[in-house]
Amino acid sequence: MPGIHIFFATDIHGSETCFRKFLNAGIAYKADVLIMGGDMTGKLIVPLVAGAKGTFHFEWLGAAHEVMESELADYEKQIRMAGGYPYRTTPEEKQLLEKDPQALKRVFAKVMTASVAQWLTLAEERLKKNRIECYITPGNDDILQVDEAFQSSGWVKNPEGQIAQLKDEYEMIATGYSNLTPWNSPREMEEDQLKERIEAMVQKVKDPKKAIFNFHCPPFDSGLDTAPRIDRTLKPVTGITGVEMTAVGSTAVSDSIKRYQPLLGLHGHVHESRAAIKIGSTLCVNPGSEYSEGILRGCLIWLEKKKVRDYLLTCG
Amino acid sequence: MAEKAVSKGFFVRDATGLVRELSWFDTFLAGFGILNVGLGLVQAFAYAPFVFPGGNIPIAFIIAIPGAFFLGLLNALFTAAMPRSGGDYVWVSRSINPLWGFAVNFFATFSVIAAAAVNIWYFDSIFLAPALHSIGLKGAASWIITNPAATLILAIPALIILVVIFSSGLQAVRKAMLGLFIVSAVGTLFWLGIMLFSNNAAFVNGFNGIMGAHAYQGLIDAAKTAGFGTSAATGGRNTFYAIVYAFQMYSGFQMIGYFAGEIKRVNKSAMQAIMTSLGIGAVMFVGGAFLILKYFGKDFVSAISFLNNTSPASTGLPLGNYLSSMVIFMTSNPILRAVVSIGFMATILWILLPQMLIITRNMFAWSFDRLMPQWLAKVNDRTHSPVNATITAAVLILIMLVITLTTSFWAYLVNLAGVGAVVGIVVSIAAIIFPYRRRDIFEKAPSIVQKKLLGLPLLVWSGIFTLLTQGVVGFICFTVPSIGGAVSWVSLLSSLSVFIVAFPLYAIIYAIIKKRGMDPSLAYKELPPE
Repeated sequence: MPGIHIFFATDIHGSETCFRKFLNAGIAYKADVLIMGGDMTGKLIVPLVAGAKGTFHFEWLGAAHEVMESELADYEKQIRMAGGYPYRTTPEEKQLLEKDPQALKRVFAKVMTASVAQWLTLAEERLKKNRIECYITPGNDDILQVDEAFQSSGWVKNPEGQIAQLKDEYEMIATGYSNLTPWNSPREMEEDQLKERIEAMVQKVKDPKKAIFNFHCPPFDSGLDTAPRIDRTLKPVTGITGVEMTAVGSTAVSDSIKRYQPLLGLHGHVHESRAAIKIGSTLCVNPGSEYSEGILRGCLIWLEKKKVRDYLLTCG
Repeated sequence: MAEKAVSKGFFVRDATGLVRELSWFDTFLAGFGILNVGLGLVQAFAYAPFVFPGGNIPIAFIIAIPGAFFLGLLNALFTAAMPRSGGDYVWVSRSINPLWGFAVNFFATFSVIAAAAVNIWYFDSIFLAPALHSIGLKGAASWIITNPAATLILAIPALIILVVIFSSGLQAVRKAMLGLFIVSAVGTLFWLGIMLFSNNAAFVNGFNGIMGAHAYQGLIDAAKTAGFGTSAATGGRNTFYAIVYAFQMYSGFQMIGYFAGEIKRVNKSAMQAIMTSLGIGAVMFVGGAFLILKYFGKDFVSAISFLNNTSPASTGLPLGNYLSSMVIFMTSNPILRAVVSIGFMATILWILLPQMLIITRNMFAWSFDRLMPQWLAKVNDRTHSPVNATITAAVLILIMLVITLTTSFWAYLVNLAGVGAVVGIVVSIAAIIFPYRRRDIFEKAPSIVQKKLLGLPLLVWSGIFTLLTQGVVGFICFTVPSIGGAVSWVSLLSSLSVFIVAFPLYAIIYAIIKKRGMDPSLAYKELPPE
């Protein structure tokens, strides 16, 4: 078929099941380009604590386990596939990590960067031979250290703050930074700073109307950014009418799309707001995320003659 | 950004979306709000005594509890297995296939549209008149009761108000829902309270005081003269068959699955919230049903139901023949009358809002899946409300209302309940096969989902019992000629067609999408996780 096919997914939060599905989507969906929109690292470490006589004990899926080291690999795979980081440790180190947030932060950084490096190696093995382009932008939840892993990747590109040329035909600008969130995540900034960041990229684009805006944060109040409203204690506001929902997207993103009317807007960040909408002439998509169930939500987009010929939200 | 140990078992770091989650009690409140005891009792007593003469309705509410329990269990376990998904559309799509998922969802949406049309009818013809009467607008109340065209005339502004509320944005909808719920709950509590703290003699006295001496007994005699009678031989069977109405009233509390992603320890909390809602709901329904029989008298309630379904005008009651309209005989206190009457009116409006939300949300989902035109999902630039979907829903409700008023829709609707049971059977089958067809999701599900009894997962047991329950409901709906007056093959086929039509519709849409370029089968293609 003429034109190019892009597969876009986002917010897999450490789920190796979803990442492997993402890599396989190229062949399964006959996509020429794979784009991951950010938040690829996980949120959970499962300490596997060494015990007596070569055993390890840990909690997983609500149950306590005690297994021999020879059996550990299967569980480690299970944990990685579900989005957690298995971490072999000692009772002493575990105790330390429970008391010392800085030490825990260092361990998180270590397991996350190691995992990203492994994933990028896997991506190169799978995609390079099939000439499937792959772009992964770290999102607001991904620590800055993971960027280093991309520098040594021979195939996967991190387009953060740059202009990427998709199949030498379509310009794409990208940022994983979001507006401020209640979680004080690693890549977030005030709206005016985000606006400046976006403007700096747009100024380098030859034709914004034919470009792709790959911004992790969705446009404000667009239907792509509806999330539970939370109170000051980070608890969803609820009542007799259910959970209260509100718009949490970025006005900087929204303004840039309204102003430049790019061909396509690729967004994520808000897992529960799966949707595809038009802002003016721009198709904006947020495929949502169900990484916790090992389901890869995505969007397949067919671009032809500098237009969006068709698209399909997927659930693989 | 902070990292912390949340238990001895694992460490988490703060990241977007990791919110303090809803407790089981928060979840219970949201689920319990969907159960509507006052309206449910009024509806059950409006039809069950006529359709199943001699049946004991409070006992029917008790018999229905185990079936409702297994339906609740099925929902709680599916919710725990797929907490981010929410709803039978996704459960059926994943367990069976997307085609069946669409068919179930299409039928469910149609049912909600039909139910909303009936609720508009209820609002105009049953609940508005007593409310107007209670605030002194007796002429307007009388006009509604005596003018057959009033329902349709009033439906249009009612629908316009609904569209305006939805077009004003989600916050306006939520505020309206909350306000209406409070008014509704207060009205229901006062209605039940009057019955609890008074007695049949007081009601008879109040009734005869307005309607004339011996009017209470005269109405019972009139029903008997018109042909109403009960037979001891069918009383037991009819008590059992009346569970059809009890199941209708017990529905809704399971819907917490739609926001299960925010629930703390969803595997336990969903179960606790669903079962607590059901437990309290059952106590209120059973207790309320006994109260109604004690307060109004079984013969009177049966006579009213019979006459209302055969010759409604013959009762001569000034505000209609429903138990909610009896408030003028229950108390002479004008404030109490107003609180109860306006409460019932608010109840109907409160229900219409979530029904509208369900319809528009499903339209959005179909539009995102390319199964319906994209313009359906367009939102207003200023209020960001789904204007096109809302207007489409209002038009569809109006069309269904016209069908309700101009055809023998009640037979059709009860058949619809039968087809609803068929849909319930599909969901039950999804639960039974899920652990085997979707082993990948099942094996990662919380332990409660994987828990086994006699070698079978609890989810499978809940599916088996729900299948049996829905099978019984379907059997009663399709085989008892007295349900809904007359069940004709035309109405039966027309209601079945709503479910069946989803299959060719899906095929046609599939062909259109494929012709346009994308292969729609890719939308649910399983990607290998290797």
